[in-house]
Amino acid sequence: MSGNHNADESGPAARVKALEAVLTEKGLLDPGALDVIVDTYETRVGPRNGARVVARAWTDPAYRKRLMDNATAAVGDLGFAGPEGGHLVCGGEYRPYS
Amino acid sequence: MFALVNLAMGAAQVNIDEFRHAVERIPPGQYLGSSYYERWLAAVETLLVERGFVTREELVAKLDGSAEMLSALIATGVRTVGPDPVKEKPGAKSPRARFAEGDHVRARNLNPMGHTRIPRYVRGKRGVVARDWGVFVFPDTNAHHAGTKPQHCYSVRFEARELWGKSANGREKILVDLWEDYLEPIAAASKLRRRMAVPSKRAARIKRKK
Repeated sequence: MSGNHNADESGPAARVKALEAVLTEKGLLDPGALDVIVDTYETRVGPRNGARVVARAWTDPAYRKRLMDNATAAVGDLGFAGPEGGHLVCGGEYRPYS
Repeated sequence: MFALVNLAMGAAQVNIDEFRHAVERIPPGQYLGSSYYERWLAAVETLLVERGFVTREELVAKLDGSAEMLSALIATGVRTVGPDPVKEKPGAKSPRARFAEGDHVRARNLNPMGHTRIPRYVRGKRGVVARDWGVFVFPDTNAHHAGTKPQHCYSVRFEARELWGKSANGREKILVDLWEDYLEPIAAASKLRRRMAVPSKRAARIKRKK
């Protein structure tokens, strides 16, 4: 994937390429790690994870309660961890203007 | 860009507030002419050059010598003034919350020279504490290596009309996360006076009709 963002060789794309090359030469950047991050955000992170949590809460009252009580732990049950869910609070169903 | 910034900022031990401040230091004209990730690029170039991880010359060499492009885009050297350093107290107890849910507060009219996370549109405006999120690092000091100054961060509810005037929808509210240092209490007396203001006006009108 680190080879993928070279489509536009002018302007920002060239600067990103230059920066990546210099950092890699200096050992400050592992191109393999770049690929892992890109792959993670392309294939494993996204709104469908949230959709799975909501669907489970709709169909499983015990899970719904757990989600309301401790959302970070409840999404962890489905394998979702990391900084994005670190301070997750479930507000319940959407109630406009309440 | 997203992946590169995450790895590079980790390697250079740059915290998220310093990174945000580097984005804010981009000269206004360049900022407005840049896409979201072009701003990230300018910020990461700036920080890596400032910290000495790479030099401008090394980047220029990789750009086939087009120094002009790079020098126009690196925001290093933009003057910045941070807050006075805060004394860190290692092992200090978690700070006490000054505000509780339901408290009426006013967002302070702060205009610091450095980084801040208080949006301009809430400065000086009245709101109500909706939730206490707990204790978080204070961005205004953390962005300038002036200490982490841990303190409570609150979700504060503002009426849309308080922020944008009468043309705003009277039923809309906006919740903004604000650190404790951004807030001041509103005295109970002034709250009461405001609540009394409307009925008394109405009473005067009724009197006149009689």
